[in-house]
Amino acid sequence: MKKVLEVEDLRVEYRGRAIVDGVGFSLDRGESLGLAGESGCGKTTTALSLMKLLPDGLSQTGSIQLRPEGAEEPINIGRRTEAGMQVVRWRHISLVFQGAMNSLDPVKKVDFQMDEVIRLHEKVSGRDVKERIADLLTTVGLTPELGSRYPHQLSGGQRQRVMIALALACRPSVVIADEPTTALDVVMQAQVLQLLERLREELGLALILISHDLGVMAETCDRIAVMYAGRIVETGSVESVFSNPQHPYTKRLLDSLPVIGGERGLAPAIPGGPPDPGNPPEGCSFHPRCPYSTERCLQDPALREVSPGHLAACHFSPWASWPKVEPVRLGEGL
Amino acid sequence: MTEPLMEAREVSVTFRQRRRQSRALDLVSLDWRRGEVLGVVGESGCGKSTLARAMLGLQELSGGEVLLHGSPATGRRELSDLRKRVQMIFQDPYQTLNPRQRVAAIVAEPLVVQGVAGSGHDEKVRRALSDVGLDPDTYLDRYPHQLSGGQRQRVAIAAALVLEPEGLICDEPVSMLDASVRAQILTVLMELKEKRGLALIFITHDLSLAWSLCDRIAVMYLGRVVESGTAVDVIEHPKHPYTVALVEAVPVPAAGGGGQRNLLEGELPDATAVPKGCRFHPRCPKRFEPCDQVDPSLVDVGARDQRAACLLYDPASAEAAAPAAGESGGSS
Repeated sequence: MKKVLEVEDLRVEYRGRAIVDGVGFSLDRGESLGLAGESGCGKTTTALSLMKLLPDGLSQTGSIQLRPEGAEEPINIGRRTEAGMQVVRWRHISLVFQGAMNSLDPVKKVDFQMDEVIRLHEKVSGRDVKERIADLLTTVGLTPELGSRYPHQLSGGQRQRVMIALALACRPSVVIADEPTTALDVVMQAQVLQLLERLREELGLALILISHDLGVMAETCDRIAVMYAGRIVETGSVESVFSNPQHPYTKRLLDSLPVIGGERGLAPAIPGGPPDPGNPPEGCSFHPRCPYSTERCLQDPALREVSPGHLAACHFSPWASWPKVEPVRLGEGL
Repeated sequence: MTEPLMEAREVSVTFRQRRRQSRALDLVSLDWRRGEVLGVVGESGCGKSTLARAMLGLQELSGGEVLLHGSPATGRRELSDLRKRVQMIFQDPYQTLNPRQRVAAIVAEPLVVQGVAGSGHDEKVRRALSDVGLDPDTYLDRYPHQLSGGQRQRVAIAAALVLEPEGLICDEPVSMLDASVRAQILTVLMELKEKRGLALIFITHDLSLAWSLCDRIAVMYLGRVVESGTAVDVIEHPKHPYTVALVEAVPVPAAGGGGQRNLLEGELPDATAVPKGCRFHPRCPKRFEPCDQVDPSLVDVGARDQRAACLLYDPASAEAAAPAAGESGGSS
């Protein structure tokens, strides 16, 4: 398989502190990778740095190589200037923002906004643009007539589909979707996820899906990377990570989710909260919340392979079995 | 059977939008028993939050009545009593707390508003905070911006508890919170239920949450309860085609996910244009002849108090409307 995106040792700093610390992954054509983790773990920051869209004050280092279909030389995003990035963004790699449905311009009609994006990046005749917009709207399951509406005349699900159509407008090789379904209902969420999956198959898109919802990941992704405090703590195929998690954080996170058909009743909570971004605890940053931590955890664990293609950053992995943990009650650190 | 804490009796709420009428609630009946955890589930716009507001007397009813301990909650004194006994918490812990008040003042406010005599306020506030797992000495003097999302939601719960209510209505209490914090807040709520015998309503679109923690579930669609029963019956053996579709749409956090699914098409219609007959029929995969004519009412569909409003289970009404309808399409 051909790699369309390779990220190595990505680091994002804010005032000398690393919010994203040594993140690396690669993406094949048509593959989908899930970036999971709680707020503040650095997943959105990672996404923004792939687009070179970090807000002022944040600086990034590390190598990001993009190899679009048909390109001879890889595009070195890490080294590109802002002017250089403007030719890459939307054309080769695009981003569906978190809460994207609210980022449409309220006073411009949908087709006008799509027209703008396409013409900014490509020289196409007016008639071709019209055709492409109609195609795009059909692709995301909307009727082309919706193009002549204003965003407020569309429902949340429809606006989210328009945003996905916009991200696809210049046929990029990589699409990053940051919490694309968080604001949607279950039924609409399932529809949008099914749409992303279909597009991936039909267009050979590589997809990076960012979500805190592990259920969404399991349904849509081939591989998953779990982030905690700015680092990837576990990564592997969805089957492998979900059926045999190898980092205590992943394990506890999976256990804290109620699953229909599983055990009823209160799921055991993880005590404490995610650490302050840029100021994680020493050693393994999960150790203060980890029921299995020992003194060894004050040393930094490396992300290493525990089974083929499955990596975890825990001193004690591979875990053959997980010792049972008593649920934490109120007043005992909860 | 446990005595009901609150009952909604054929409650209707109509909003007027210019010349059109929007029926947010249409003849909704619901029992909420003492100490019970009741789940109200459905998509946004189905009327679940309006139902919560109606039950607290925060929403004028256009029909029906709300009972507290068997007597109607109308009139000033009754409403004031209702609001002491039943409290509510909301989805967004970032917007529900006054940013300029300290935690001590936020939690004490209900005591002031309800005119509870001045002595012992501090004691009650401290107890409410301890009950939600926040150490009073640490948190009393903090402002909301100094708290995390989970801590804010705990403060909101503490403020709801300070009047020692019998019931707490939670409108999407954890949907804005991170996975690990979510389980903490649910632990707080369920421990309160155990310790104080608090009855809870979870208003949520998260079916797995309703399934794991609720005693009973009511499924709403477009202002109507379309199915109700024990959580296990409704989620594991759903009867109404809408409930079946909802359960199927839930993403499963396990290897392989939920596999292939038949998804509902389209969206929840506008409440100003409720379809004729069964309100679900335009999206229903099992619709048959009289579904666009007959508005089904809740009928018994299971042994244990499970009810669904669907003509599949009410052949008498279906036949009465369309004598020549023939085959009824079979049940699930």
